[in-house]
Amino acid sequence: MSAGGSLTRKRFAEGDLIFMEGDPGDETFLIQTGKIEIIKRDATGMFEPVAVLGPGQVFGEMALATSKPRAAGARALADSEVIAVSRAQVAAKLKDADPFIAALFRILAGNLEAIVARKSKEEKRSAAKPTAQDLDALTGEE
Amino acid sequence: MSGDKGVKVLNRRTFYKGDVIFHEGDEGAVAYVLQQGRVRITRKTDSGEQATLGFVEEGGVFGEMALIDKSPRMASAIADGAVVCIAIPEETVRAKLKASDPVLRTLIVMLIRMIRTMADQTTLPPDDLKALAAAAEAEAHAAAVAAEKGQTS
Repeated sequence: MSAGGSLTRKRFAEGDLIFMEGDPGDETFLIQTGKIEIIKRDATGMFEPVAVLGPGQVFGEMALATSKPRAAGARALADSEVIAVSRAQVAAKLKDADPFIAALFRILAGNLEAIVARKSKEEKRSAAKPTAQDLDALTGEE
Repeated sequence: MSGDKGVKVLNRRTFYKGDVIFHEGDEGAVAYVLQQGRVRITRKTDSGEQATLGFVEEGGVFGEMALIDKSPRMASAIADGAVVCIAIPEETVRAKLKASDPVLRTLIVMLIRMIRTMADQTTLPPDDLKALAAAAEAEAHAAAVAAEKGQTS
């Protein structure tokens, strides 16, 4: 068996919670069959659907780029089968990979992390950003 | 070198400060590995201004996304000083991808898709040229100080 171990196939029944927002994230999931809903809590703590994914799509992929807690939760909307890949398994595969492919992977993961960080900063800023009128009132200009 | 079949010639390219290595929206035929210098990646904002997405440093790969998913260039790449890079043709990238682990391959394609989606959803602030100039100046100053220190010690 390779350093990372073999991939795990997991089954979820309709309604199963796969992971929650804030959980430590280590695995990325490739959907084989079924339907997965990505959910986030809104300001009142209610679940809000962010996306619905199907076969061939991937979720939990931020775990590839960072060891930060899950930014969103995931639950099965139908009976689903997924393949789970852990960070250790990816690292083992990268070790055996062509150096160009390994570099490519690391750069893409880094870019994704940077863009996600930038986006969440942007969202926070725009939420707190004063309007143009507020600024005019403050500066007394135009 | 002429007539030597199968000899792989490294496709080395040199650019100077401000040179556009590729334009946003172009069809991409090569990926680059940055050997020397720094490359600025920029993208047009909705209002048409250029915004910096980030920088590629030595050893970094850029321009690879358009090759893999066959979409137009998502951003422009501009030399941020003298730059030497190695151009890697599409066939080479495809061959390497094809030979790679299927899980890695899936994840690479997915990472690119995610990056494109996220970039489309992110509103970037246009480049603050004054701040960029100030940062460049501070950097030059720091380099000068470091050089001076090196000389005196």
